[in-house]
Amino acid sequence: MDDNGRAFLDAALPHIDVVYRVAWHTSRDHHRAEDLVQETYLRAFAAFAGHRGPSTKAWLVTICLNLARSEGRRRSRRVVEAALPEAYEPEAPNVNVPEEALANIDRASVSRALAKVPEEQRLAIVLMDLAGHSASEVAEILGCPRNTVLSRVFRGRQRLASLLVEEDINRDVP
Amino acid sequence: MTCPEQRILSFLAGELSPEEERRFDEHLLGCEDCWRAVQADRAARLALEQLREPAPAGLQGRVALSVALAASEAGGGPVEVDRGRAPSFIQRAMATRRWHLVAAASLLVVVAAGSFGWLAASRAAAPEPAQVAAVVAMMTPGSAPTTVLRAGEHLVIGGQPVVVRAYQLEGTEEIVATSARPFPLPPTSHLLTGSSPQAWMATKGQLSLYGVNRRPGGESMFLVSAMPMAEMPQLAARLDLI
Repeated sequence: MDDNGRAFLDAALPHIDVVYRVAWHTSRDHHRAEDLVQETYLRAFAAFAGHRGPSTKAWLVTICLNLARSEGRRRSRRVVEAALPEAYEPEAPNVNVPEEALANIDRASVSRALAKVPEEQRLAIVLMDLAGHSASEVAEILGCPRNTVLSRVFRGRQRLASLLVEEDINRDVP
Repeated sequence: MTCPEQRILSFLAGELSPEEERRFDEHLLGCEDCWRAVQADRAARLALEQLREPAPAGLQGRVALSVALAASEAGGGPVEVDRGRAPSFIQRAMATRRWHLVAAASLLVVVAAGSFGWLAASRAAAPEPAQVAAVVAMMTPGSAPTTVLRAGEHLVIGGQPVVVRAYQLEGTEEIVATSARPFPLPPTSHLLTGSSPQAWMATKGQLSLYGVNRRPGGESMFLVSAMPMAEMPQLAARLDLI
């Protein structure tokens, strides 16, 4: 491999965990997520010589999201059945969410609950809480004001907390 | 919530001045809505920490290989395995050159009992192509050997002329099938997008499969080994298969 390839891998591979998390939570399928990560790196490598923009992590995540959106558009053209929109409840949870109530909730339950959070909020949460971006970086990636990002993350976490309580209650029902 | 959202956003983002924060703390003591919202935000963040998982083992190797292939195409040079990035067993082999090629006319490949007959009987139930199933059967323990093939012998499996060779690396056996025609892909295989010629990967039980299909006239191949999937591309590269 030439120097350009090595330089690219040195710069980009340390972020593969983050890119995979973003890919998984946008596709919710391990095989598609892995394909998405590979395609992200190939696209990024092709453009690496001209890469001067944001941090490498943010750049890779942006490419990954663009690919996921393109794939989503292709799929939406093929798929006839449409999911009903989730009812959105912007209010605070109706129940208390004590941390101890969620202490034993498993990873799969969290993942399932996150999938039910409205897409814009979920994406902001994935980028901030799972990918570790700052609100300003997320604003740049998503092309929206920073305060919008903070609002989406806040509302998404409120929704997620309610869903986690539901998961916890349902888990206790025999 | 009746309180302004902006204030709680600023509080959670740590953007309030010390005085504003003190006032908001006092407010929390008397406002049930804001108290619940802060509590829910904290609980959600804690729960989300569980989802900060690493990428699957093997994905980094797959990505590195696909980039190496792309770089090779762009530069017109051969694919090289970066020693610094190669799995440990490859590095050991590169350092000691203890690769033992036990192939061609010298090695006997023991074919599992009636494997081809079994294939013919159960092909409808078996999801994988006969060519793949036959080679995998050679690596599957527990079958009584009835047929002995010499490695390098020409076979016709599933209507396709195939040459099978076996390699051994420090006690671990790998079997390689080659053909002048592309192999049909197992239904569970993953294509390595962007690779040219087309590379694919699949697993069968504990075995890993890694293949490269070229156009008719070029030599296509696939490799079966008990090695982890992440190490298959490098293994294929070291065996000069790609």
